[in-house]
Amino acid sequence: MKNKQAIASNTTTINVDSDSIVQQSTLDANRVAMHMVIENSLKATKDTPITYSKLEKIKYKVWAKIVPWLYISPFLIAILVFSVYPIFNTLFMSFKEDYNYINGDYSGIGFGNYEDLFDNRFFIQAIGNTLTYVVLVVPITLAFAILFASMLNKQMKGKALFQTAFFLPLVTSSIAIGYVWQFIFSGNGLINWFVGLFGAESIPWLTSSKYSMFVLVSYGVWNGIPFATMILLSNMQRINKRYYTSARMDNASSWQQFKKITLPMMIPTILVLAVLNMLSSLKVFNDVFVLFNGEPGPFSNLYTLVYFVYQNLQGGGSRGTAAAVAILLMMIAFIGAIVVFALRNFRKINFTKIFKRREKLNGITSTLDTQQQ
Amino acid sequence: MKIVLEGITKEFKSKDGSNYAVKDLNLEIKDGEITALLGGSGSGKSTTLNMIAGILPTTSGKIYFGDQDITNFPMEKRNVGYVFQDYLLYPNMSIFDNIAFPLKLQQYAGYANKFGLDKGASWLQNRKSKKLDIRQRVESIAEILQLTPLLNRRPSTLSGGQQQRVAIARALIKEPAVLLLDEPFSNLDARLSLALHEELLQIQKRTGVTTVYVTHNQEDAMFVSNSIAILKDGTCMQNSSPQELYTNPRNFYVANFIGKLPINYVSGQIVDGKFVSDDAHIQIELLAENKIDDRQSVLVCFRPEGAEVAKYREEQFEALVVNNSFHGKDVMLKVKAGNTFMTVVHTRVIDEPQSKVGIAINPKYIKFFDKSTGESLK
Repeated sequence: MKNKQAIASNTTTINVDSDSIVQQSTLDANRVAMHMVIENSLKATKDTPITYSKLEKIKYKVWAKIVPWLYISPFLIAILVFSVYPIFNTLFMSFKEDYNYINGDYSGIGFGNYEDLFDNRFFIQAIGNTLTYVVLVVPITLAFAILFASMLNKQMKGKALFQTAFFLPLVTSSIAIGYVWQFIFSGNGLINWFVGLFGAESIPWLTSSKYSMFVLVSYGVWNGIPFATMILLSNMQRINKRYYTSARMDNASSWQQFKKITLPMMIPTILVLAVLNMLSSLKVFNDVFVLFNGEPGPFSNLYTLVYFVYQNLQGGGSRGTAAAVAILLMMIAFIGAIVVFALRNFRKINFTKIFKRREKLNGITSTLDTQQQ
Repeated sequence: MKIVLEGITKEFKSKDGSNYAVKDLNLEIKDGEITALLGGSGSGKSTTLNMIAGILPTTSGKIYFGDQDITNFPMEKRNVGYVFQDYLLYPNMSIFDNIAFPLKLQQYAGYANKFGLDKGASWLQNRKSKKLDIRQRVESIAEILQLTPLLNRRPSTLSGGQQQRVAIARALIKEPAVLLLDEPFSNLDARLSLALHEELLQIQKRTGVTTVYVTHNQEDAMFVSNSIAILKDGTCMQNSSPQELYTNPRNFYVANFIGKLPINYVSGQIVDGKFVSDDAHIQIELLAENKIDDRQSVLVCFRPEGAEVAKYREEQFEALVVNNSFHGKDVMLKVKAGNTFMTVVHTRVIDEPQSKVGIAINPKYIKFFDKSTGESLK
C-alpha cells in the first residue's frame, strides 16, 4: 500500500471530472498491484533455494554430455559410414602392393602403387587431360555465366523463355543430354550440316583426336552454365539498385558500373562457384563415357583421372592403383580449393604502405618534371 | 546556383486512375542557401528532390538551374551531388576510393592542363598526374570534412555519422552545382544528429554550395536551413525563413504544423471589433492593425509562449487547470477555457485541484485565420 501512495503523490495529475484522467489513475493502481505480485513471487524463490543430491548432479552432468551427440547422431553415423570410412579404407588400400580384393592378400606395404602410376602412360595422359579440362572449363563457364546472368538481370522481352532455356540442362539427365550432343557432333550431325551450308568439309568432331577435347570442354561448359548462372543471378538481384543510380549520377558508363559495382560485389560468390565447378570438373567422367560410347576418346586419348580409376576397378587393373589415383585426385582437389581461396585473401593484403611509398616517389618525379619545364 | 521549379507535376498512373505525388509545385531556391523540404509522409518532398536530381522524370513543368532549363537533362548531365538516405558507400572500396570514385570515372586532365603536361606528355605521365590530382583533391575535401585519419579504412568500420560525412564528401568532390540530401538526419541517433546539424551548416558555409534536403523532422529543418519549404499533398504551402514561418505562418496548416508544442486555436466570430469564441467564454479585443470584417468566422491562434497566467497583464478570461507538465525551466499548463483546451507557459507547477487561473494573451502573438479557407488574415 505504501508504494501505491508514493506513486500517487508523485503524479501531478489532479482529478478533474474528466474520464480519461480517472481511467489513468485506475490503470496506475493496477500496475502497482501487478508489480507487488511479481516482487513477492521473486522473494519466495530466493528464500528457498532448490538443492540437488550428489548423484543427481553427476547424472545431470553425464546426460548433458550425451544429449548433443544423440542429436547429431543420424548425420554423424551416415558421414562415418559413407564418407570417413571409405576415405581411410582407400588410403590404406593405396599402400597395399599387389592387393587382391577378393581374398584380401597383399605382398607388402609401401609406395609401390604410386611408383607404378608414374610409369603408366595413360595415367600421365589422364592427369594432363583432367588439368587441361579444369583450366579451360572453369573460367569459360564462369565468364559465360556472368554474361548470361547480367543479361537475364536486365528487363527484356521473352525473359521467362530464356530463363527456362538456360535452366533446362539442370533438370535433364546427363546421359540423355550426352546422346543429344553425340548427335549434334556426329559425322552427319547438326553442326556438320551447318558447316556444310558454307561449303566447308564436314569436321570429324568425335572421331579425331584433334577435336575431341574441344567437344568435351564445350559439353562441360554448357553443362556447368545453368547452375552458375542461377546462383549469380540471385546474387545480382540482391545488389541495391540505387548503387547504380548513384554511379550514373557520377557519370559512370554501364561498363564502368559493371566493373566497379557488380563485379566486386559478386566476387565471393564467383570464388565459391569456381571451387564448386573445379571440384566437379576434376571428377569428369560421365561426359567422356557418354560422348565416346564408353571409350576414353576416339583413340584412347581422352583418359581422365576418374576414367582411369573406373577402368582399373572394372577389370584387368588393380584396386591398389585405383585407390592411389583416387587419393591423388583428392589431394589435387584440396590444393586447388586452397589456391582459389588464397586468391580471395590476396585482396586483403595491406597495399597502403606500398602505395604510399610509390606515391612519394611519384610526387618527387612529377615535381622534377615541372621544374625541368 | 539558383534552382527554380516552375509548376512541376508528377503523376503516377495506376489501374484506378492517376494520383499526383507533386501537383503544380512552384518553388525558388536561392543561390548559396540551404533549404529544407519539410512535410509529412506522402507530401511529395522526396519525389520533388528526385525530380531535381533527375532520378524521376517530371510529368509537366520546368526545372531551371540558374537560367538553364534542365528539365529534360539526364541525371548524369545535371551535375548534382546526391547523398542517399542509406549513404550507399561501396563496401569493397576504401574511404579514399569511395570519395575518389566520381573523379576516377571522369576523363579529365585538370592537373596536367595546369602545368602544360598534356602536350607531348606520355600517356603514363598524364595518368600519373591525374592520379596525383585526384589524391590532392580527395585530401583537401577530406580535411574539410575531417575524414583524413579514416581514408584507408573500409566503410563497414565507420560509424553512421562518419559514413554520412564520407557520402557528403563523395557528393561534393565533383564540385556539383547543387547538393541534394535525402533524409540526412533520419538514420542517426538524437545526439549525433545534433552534431551533424552544426557540421552540415559548417560544410555548406565553407563550400557555399546550394543545398536542398528533405526531412520530416521540423526541428532538424528549423536548425539547419536558411529557408524551409513546407509541402503538403504535392504543393508548397510556404517557403520562407524559419523565423518567418514560426511567427508569420501564411495559413492554418503551416501554423499548426510548425512548432514543438501544438499551437492553441479557438474558433469564433468577430462581433463589433471584438473576437468572441463559439461558447462566448473568450473575448479578445482586436488591435487597430487587424482589419477583419465583422461577422466573419475566424480561428484565433497563439503559441503557448504567447499566453501566460495573468500577473502583469490584465486577465482576459478564466480557465481551469487540467494538467501540468514540467519542462525544466518552464511548466506547460494544460487548461480548459470554456469548451476549448489550450497550453500555456507558466513558471511553477499548479497542483491544487480544480484551481482556476486567469489567462492573458499577448496581442502581438495572436494570428487570425479564415475558418473556411484557412488563409491568414492581416
